[in-house]
Amino acid sequence: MIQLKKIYKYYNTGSKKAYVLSDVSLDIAEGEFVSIMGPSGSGKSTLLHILGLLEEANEGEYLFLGENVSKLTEKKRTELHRNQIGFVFQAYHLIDELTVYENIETPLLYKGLNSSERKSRVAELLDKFNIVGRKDLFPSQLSGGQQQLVGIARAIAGNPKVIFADEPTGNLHSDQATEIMELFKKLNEQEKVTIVQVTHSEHNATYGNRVIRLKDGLIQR
Amino acid sequence: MIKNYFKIAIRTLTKNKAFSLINIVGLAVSMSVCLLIINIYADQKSYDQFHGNKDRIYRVLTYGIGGDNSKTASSAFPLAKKLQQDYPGIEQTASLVRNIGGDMLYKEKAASGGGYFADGQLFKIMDFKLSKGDAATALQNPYSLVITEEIAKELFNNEDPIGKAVQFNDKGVNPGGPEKGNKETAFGIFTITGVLQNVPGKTHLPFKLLASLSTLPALANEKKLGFDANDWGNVWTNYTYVLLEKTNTKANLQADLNQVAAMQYPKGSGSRFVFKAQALNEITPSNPIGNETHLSMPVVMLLILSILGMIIMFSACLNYTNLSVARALTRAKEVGLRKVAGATRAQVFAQFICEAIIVSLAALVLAVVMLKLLAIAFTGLWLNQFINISFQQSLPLLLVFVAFAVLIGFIAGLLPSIYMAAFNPIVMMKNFGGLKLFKRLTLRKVLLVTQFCVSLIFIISTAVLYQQTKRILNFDYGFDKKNIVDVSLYKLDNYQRFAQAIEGNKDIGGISACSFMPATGSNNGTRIFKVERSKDSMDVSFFDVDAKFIDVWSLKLLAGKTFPEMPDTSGERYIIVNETMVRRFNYGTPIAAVGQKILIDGNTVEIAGVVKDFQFLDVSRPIEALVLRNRPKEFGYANIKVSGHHTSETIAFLEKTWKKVNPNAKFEYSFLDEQLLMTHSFLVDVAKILGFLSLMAVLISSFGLLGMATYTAETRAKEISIRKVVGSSVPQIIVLLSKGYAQLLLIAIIIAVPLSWYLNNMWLQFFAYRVSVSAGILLMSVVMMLLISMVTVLSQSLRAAFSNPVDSLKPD
Repeated sequence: MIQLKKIYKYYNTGSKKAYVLSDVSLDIAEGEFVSIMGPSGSGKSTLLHILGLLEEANEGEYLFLGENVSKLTEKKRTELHRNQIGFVFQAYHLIDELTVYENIETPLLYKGLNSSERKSRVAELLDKFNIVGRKDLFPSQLSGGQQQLVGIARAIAGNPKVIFADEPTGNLHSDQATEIMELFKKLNEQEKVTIVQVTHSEHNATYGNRVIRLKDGLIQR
Repeated sequence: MIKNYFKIAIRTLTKNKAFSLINIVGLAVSMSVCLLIINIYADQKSYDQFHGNKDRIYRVLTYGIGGDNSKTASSAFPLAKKLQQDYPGIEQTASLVRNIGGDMLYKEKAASGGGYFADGQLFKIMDFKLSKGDAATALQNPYSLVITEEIAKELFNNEDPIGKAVQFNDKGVNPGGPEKGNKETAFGIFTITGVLQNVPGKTHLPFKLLASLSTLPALANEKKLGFDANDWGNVWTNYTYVLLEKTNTKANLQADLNQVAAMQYPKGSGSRFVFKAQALNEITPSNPIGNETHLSMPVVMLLILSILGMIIMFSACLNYTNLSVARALTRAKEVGLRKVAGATRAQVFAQFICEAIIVSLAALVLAVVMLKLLAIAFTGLWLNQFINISFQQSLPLLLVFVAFAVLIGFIAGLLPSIYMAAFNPIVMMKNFGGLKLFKRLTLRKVLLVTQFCVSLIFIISTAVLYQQTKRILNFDYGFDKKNIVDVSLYKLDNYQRFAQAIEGNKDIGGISACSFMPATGSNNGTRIFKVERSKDSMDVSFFDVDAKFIDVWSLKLLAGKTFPEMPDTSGERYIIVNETMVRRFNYGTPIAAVGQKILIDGNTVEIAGVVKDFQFLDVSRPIEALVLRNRPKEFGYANIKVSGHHTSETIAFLEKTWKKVNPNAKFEYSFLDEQLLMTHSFLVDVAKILGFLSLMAVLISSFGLLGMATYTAETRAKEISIRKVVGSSVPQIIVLLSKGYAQLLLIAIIIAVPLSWYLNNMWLQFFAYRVSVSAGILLMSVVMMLLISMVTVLSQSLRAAFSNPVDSLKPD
């Protein structure tokens, strides 16, 4: 489903190139739950951004669902974000001015679903995540764990094929973290959503079925 | 989707109250000015909309050619007939002849009004309708008169006006202007043949009466006025209206008119003219043209107002743009999320434009309220008693307002929306604190400098205009303008009887007569020659006065003496001249000038005396050569010098005496100093309007500055706290936060001062006596601007500087 071939990412600092990623090649099959691990500054977030089409690699080839997406038009990229990709962030990144319900609804709006379709989809997610009672609250009225639940609900609202999660439990204490990781596992197993997470925690990595370790921009074998 | 945009817009706006308030109030203030202008424009465009044939009606204008560059709304009398007879495609033509206006007397009652000589053709072209009488025949016979319902009510109350006979005394009352005549001619007995319905809207022909065209030859026979039905040379007293057939065009009419003009005014003939077709809807608002039938807003003034309004509106839009771009950072996260969730650039753009439009619409609501107040203020202006703008808000006008607000929202939101839409979602994944989104603040700086410039130019211009107005209001005319009462004479006999009757009252210092009031705008001109050297000639202004005029007006006689008490009845013998005239004719001294012989209008006259120069033209023009003449039949006004004590009793005495000796003429008086002030009313109005607009401009730019300063202080709260913790003093922090603005202000001053100097000198050229754009004015304005800006900035810097570091150093 995802194929990276010889990906390089660097920044020009003065005369030298500072490599964030070098010669990264990897395959992720549909239905996998992959954890990217590595120390700070190893390039794991950059790798996730490249996978999520938020950044472009300087060199190399990226095939997403068999299609070369190394260079994409903005329109095509938006298309993929709408339909194939979901994001979950460490800092949840909910829109402060929107309620729980409205936050979950946002991707559906852009997807062009009509009002009743949106209603039933959001209701389904609220129900599934057990947050029906909080649907009219604003993010600031929720605990971190609850916010992240909304974040995940929003990420899967559009029925994406893959979810990219950037330290999804980084800001949570362990009870909440466990709940979130269980949820990911369930999504992966029951709904066959491919999940790629960046994490510091060996424990969290155990929820997945593969670990990719990065160090200084290189994949450790 | 739109619903979602609205929701988030309203939530964002209510969350950031200071920001929203600054934007909404700023936009509303400037919008109300623009709405006022739109309203004025709509009012002007509402003229003559009630005529069913309005799109096919044209008026013929006349332009002088070959040296004569006069432009007049009137045209030659025979033109209407000529067009009707010889040119197909013209359905109807009508003539309207000026010069009827005065008092109608019926039994004990009197009514006054002005109008035109016309025939029934007029009713076929325009929708002036009769409520009584037959439009087809009402203006057929000589001495027929059609009057408005208002006059009918005044004269006849509930009686049927049709067939009643009224005495008509013409007094030169103008149907569409402020001028009132001062001469009376008995036109004779007229029969009322019709009553005009009240017109259902505004019209450029605001007449109160119409007399039959066939009356004209009869009046001309009695030498009561001049009229020649075949006179192509007189293009000044008659108006020609044309109704085209449905298939005909303006271009065709113009071609016809060109042909007629070429025929009637061939090359080599004396006066040459061309005719111009003017569509009915081009008449109001007016372009400068002679003999206009109504007073309306000059197009130029509307244009200048619109430009000033737009500048202020633009300034308010800059506030929005500037503050939104500044706040973009706080919205970056939201934009990033939306993009990741699948929003396209266009969708993000639409969202932010929507937000700007919502702000603009909110401002509109406030602006409409403000408009009510502005309209009251505008209605109170001197000039509105003539142009009479009505501020009624109809549904279409409100729709225009809404469209305007949407447009403004779009303009204001354009730049920030483009900015936001271009965000790369990656920015919000990164650490916000260390992120420098807008390293180059060039755009915001340019916007702020522009605003400062606009404010400063407004302040300086207002100061200059204020000085100039003060200069003119306190102008030294060279005569004593205080305590002189002017009374309209109508007839010479009235004067003599009146002068005798009031003599001896202790509050009356003297009485004199003159043909018209000097320095109030009128003047006559002629060419004079030296008798002994007829090659020496010059153009002079003149007016007629009697022997006591010099005394009553406190003019200074430099040499010679005043006119004899009793002027020679056989003809003009003496003139009095001013210093400028003596200088132009190189007489050397005033004494040498006395006794010199001058040829004026074919008569030889002697210079009896020389007076010191005084301002007899309106103050926008320098003093020119002047000849005072002494022809009693020209006298139009009595000037009575009063003591200044018991003024109301004196006026009552004058009125009582007038009514006693001249029972058939109205007593109409005014004070000279008030009349002179009247001539400056327009300037005072302009000063008021500009003063108000500059207040708005300054207010709006202060709002913008306040917003920026607040925002900067807020976003730098953490930095300031750290600086305080490591030992920065309060003054150091104030300097840190304020110096950026000081630099921008300085740049603005460098740009705006020379620009204002140039702009103001440009308009000052229209005044003969003008103030200079002095360093004092410039300095004062700059200081004022600096003061306002620094107070604004400091208020925010101080707040930031005195804040407790603990508040902003809490972990996020």
